[in-house]
Amino acid sequence: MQIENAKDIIVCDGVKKWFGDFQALKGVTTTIKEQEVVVVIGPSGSGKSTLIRCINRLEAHQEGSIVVDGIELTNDLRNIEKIRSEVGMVFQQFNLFPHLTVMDNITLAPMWVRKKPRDEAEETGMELLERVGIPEQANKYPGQLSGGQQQRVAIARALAMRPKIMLFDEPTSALDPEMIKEVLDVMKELALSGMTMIVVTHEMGFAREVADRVLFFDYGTIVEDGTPEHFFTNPQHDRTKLFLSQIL
Amino acid sequence: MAEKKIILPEIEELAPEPPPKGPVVWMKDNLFYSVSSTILTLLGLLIAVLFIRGMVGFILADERKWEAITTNMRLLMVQAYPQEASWRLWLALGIIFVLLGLSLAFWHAGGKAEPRKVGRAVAAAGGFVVFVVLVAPFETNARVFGLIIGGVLIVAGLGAVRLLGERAKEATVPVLLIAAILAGVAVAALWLIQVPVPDPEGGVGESQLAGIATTTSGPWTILYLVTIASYFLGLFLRRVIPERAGRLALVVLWTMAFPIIVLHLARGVEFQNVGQYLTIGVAFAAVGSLIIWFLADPARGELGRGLAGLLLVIAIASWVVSALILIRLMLLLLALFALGGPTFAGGERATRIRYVGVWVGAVVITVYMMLLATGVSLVQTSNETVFGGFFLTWILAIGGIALSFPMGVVLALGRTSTMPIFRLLSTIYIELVRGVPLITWLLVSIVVFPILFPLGVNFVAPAKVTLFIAFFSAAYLAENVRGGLQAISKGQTEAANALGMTTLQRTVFITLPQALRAVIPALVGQVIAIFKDTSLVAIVGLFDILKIGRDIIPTQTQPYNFLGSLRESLLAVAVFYWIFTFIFSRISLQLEERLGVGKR
Repeated sequence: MQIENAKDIIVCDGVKKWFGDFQALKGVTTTIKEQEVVVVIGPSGSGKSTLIRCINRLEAHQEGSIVVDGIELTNDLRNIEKIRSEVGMVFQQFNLFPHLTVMDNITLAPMWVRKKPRDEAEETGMELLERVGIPEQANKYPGQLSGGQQQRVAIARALAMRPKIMLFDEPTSALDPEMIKEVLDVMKELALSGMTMIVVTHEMGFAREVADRVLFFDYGTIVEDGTPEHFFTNPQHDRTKLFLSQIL
Repeated sequence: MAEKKIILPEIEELAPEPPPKGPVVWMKDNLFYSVSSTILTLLGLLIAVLFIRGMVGFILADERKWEAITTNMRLLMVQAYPQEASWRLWLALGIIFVLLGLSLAFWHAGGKAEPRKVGRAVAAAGGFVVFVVLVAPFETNARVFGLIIGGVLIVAGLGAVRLLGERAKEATVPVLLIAAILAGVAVAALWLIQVPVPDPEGGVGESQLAGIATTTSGPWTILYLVTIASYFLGLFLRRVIPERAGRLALVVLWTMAFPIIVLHLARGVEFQNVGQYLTIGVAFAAVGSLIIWFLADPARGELGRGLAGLLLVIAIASWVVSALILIRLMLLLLALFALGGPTFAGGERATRIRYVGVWVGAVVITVYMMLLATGVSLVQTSNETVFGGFFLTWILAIGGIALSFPMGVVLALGRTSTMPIFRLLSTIYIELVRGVPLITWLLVSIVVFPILFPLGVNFVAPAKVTLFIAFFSAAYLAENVRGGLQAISKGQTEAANALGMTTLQRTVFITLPQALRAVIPALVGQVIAIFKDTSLVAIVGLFDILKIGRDIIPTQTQPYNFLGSLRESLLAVAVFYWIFTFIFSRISLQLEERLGVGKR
């Protein structure tokens, strides 16, 4: 596969993170290559969301190192802002800006962080809305859209920054069942286009079909790391087997 | 999988409209649905009847001297402002109404009202007139006249709905048209309504009838027409220039309107030190542009931030050493622009050019403001200040509110900030200012102000009072805004962070707009409170509308005897306050509805 030769874009080395006394990450070491699609699976509270939130510094890790696109995450605010503008994030609760129209949601960051002129930002915004299939909603407010549409806007908003990496934090968990597919379709298309993606999800079908690699998390560590085929058919650890037997 | 199409019946077909209820059924359902509701309804009705009887009886009583109000209208509005300069105030009003007309057009103000609702409102107004005429102690003639007016309104209101019939469901009436008609009626009333004025040849207490506004009905009519004309001009301009640019220009004009009207137009200014100030302005515009252009370039990186910080240090230092106020302000402004450069202008040439343009505009405005502040007033009165009456009330209210908004926002941000020093300073300020009554602060403003500002800065009384009203109001606003800031979910901050926004960008574009929107009712409450609290300035010797109504009109003996007209003038003053506070609260409701778009 061509990914084998691709360069490392995220390198986590012994990442540890505590919330008070509770240790959420107990030394996570992994490397993600360009164009790789990594699906992170695990029970609630296993630290999978914490890991991707550490990658764009929404949470600060306390030990170990995270290097994103050659820049190490430290407390230096400018490094953080630089990395954040290269890493798109899609949240479980969408977190669209309710006081702005869909188009303004998408163009705000390109205009003020990337300093793009408004015309150009709106042109890109319209292209992205077409890509996620809702160009006709450009002038509506988020509150007027369905959950699935809102999440697709959130994906378009993240893509508008032309990120090198996309992080998805349980993007379909807050959606009604009939809206999950429309969001997964957009993500699938994105994966095929060669985007580097880390997806925390409970959608096993998505993991099996789209992922290059599956990470199984439990108690703050990576328990299983392998291809989807390996993960679903021939897991090595008892914990993974137990988990799979409960959900499949 | 072939898509199945299930044909659902239209919703309307499923739910036919409930049969219209008659007024009797409505009353039974809403007013008399139980024993207790019947008692409360009757009790409420009794209170309303007693209030209306008392009020109308008071207004119509023979011994009332309403001519004290009509004769003194000018005094109430502008106090001692010289008659020959009154064109300045009319011109000022003209500016405001032109801006109003343009803004209504550019912000697509006013929706569509259903004719049925309008008809019902007209009929309800007619019903109210009939009710008042029946219960209040009117003479027979007036009663018949009132009944006819009320009857006409009821018939017209209900008849219009009946005539439109089915079409009334789809037809709409523009709200602005209704507003224009109501304002037109008010203007027409100025020409038509007759009120008692003192008879110049008659004895004390005798009066004759004359138009309510003999000298001002002309100007008001012109203003009315100007407003309508500028609305249509706005509609035209909206098609010619981009809406966004037009709105931006209007916001700038509204912001400039207050200082221009109050400091320049109403006062009349003879500028001092023009040459010196212009030189400083041109120098700062030129050199500052170069500096900002240089520092906003992303290529500067760390060096840019460092130099901008150095500029800030120089600016702060200039307040410690002796320097012209203009130079100090300019240095501060330059430092702020330099610091904001990477956030708002870094990158494309076009944005940097625009940013430098904004800087030059800021320089021009600052120089103009300083020229105004140091200029000498041309309009002379016997008082220390040319401002008095309702005009003064408005100046204090608008000035106080306008200044307190930015202060309040900064304090709220400070109090919720993660930086301990700012948080502590803001908290101390808020608690200190809120803990002392406004009257005390007003006295402080007059007595202590010169000591508080040892730099030779001193202003006339209205300016000092405005400042302190703003300081006071800012503390309350800060607490309101803080409430709004705390109501914003953490997800909003995270989403903004995840997009790489700086703290400043996040605050300006994401958290503040949402926080302010969430607390509009509290903010409008604060605006209304300030508007009424301005009446406290009587304590420091300023003549606002309440002071004039309470202490001046009821003591007049020359040229007419208005002794003992205290109750009349207090009622009149109350009506003036009420009209505008009522308008504020209506506007606030409109604003909530408009800004609540999409958040249901």
